[in-house]
Amino acid sequence: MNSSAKEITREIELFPAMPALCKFVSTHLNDPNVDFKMIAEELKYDPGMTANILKLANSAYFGAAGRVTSLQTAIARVGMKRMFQLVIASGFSKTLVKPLSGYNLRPEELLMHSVFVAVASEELARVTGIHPPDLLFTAGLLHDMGKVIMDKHVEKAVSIFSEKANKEQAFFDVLEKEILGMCHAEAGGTLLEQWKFPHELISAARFHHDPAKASVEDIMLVNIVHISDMLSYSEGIGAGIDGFRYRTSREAISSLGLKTSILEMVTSHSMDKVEELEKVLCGESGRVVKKEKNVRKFH
Amino acid sequence: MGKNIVVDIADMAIATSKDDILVTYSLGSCLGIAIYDPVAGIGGLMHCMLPLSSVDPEKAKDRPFMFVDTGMTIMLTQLFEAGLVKANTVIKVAGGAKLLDKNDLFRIGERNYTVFRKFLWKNGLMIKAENVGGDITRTVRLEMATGRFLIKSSGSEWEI
Repeated sequence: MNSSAKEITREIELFPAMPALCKFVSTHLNDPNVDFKMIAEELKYDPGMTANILKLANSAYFGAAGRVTSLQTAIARVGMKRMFQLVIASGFSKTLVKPLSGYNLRPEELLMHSVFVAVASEELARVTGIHPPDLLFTAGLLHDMGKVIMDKHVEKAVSIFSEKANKEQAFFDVLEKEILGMCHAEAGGTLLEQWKFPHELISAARFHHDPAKASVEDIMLVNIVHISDMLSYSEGIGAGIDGFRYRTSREAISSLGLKTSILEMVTSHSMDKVEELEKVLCGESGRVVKKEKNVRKFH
Repeated sequence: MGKNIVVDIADMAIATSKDDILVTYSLGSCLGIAIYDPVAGIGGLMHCMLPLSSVDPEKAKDRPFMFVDTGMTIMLTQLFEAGLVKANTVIKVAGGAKLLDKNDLFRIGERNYTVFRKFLWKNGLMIKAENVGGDITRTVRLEMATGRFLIKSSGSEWEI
């Protein structure tokens, strides 16, 4: 293990703990029978998160019919499994919203990318007629957590990255491994494993650039996250210095029976939902306000 | 000081003041299309994602600038309404990138560009300058004061 890899491993061990509620929820993601009172008790001390969860439960994407104003009704409407995903989304948005200067991502860009991959993954499953695995949304949302850890190491070595990238036409995760001893997918997988997340989420983070390595049990979910990730990059969403430099798995393409028209449909179906969720997760950001101004002026 | 008008993904904006600068970030396979009339002092910038609205006609009604075909139709209509003169029109385009790993699936950039060319040809318009394809993301700006169309990618900036 080279010295950067050692340092990265140590940083994963020291990575700030999740919000308490996420921690509780993460161990119950596959167990929808957990007592609601325990969640309500935790949320009592976190009005910010409670408000966020209600906003998400009221979003068109999570599709509660009619407005919900209490957690109890929110759970009744969206179901416990979805509720857990809302808690995770709300809890991790603060981490994902930050800019990453090593990967050259502006504030909100990683969050937008993560939300795009989450939404497009569910959309891709729907369009191709696959019953979406329960944790698909969350797997998409957290697949790039490793970048948060890797960012400052990439930044320190950025001149080596750009020099090698230009000369060798190499894939970015291969360069990460070569220069830093670890790629962001591995770092993310290790982090989620340390947090004892369900295996689907660990696999999606660890293998999203190499889905063929996922276990038989997880490979469908990882294939879907992988393709949605590449689609996001292709559309320039969260592409940074690395986005155009990953390979697409031929096995994933053929196992999902993909065509360009399917990807275009998934993109078009996803965008509004991505923008809606991102707006909730960021709070009322300047970007969104600006957009509304443009619409008023020119339409 | 010039005012930056940010054009979001799947959106378009028109500027009529010399002080304005239209900008759009992070074009991948998307196209950044600038249409400018130096005489009338009118310019527009669009950031469109997908070639044809036929993939999702309902969405195209809500978000016409998501697609090259509906986006171009409305952008030109609004520009002509604002006083753009066809004979003076300068059209520049950037984006349409493809992933480093060439495969037939992610041809969205190429398809965007083809539909764009076809649209211009049908309408008797020409591209003055372009910077499309390749495996890079681009940020583009249209300076209303000078008509300069600037492209920024991986740390360098140039004009086309």
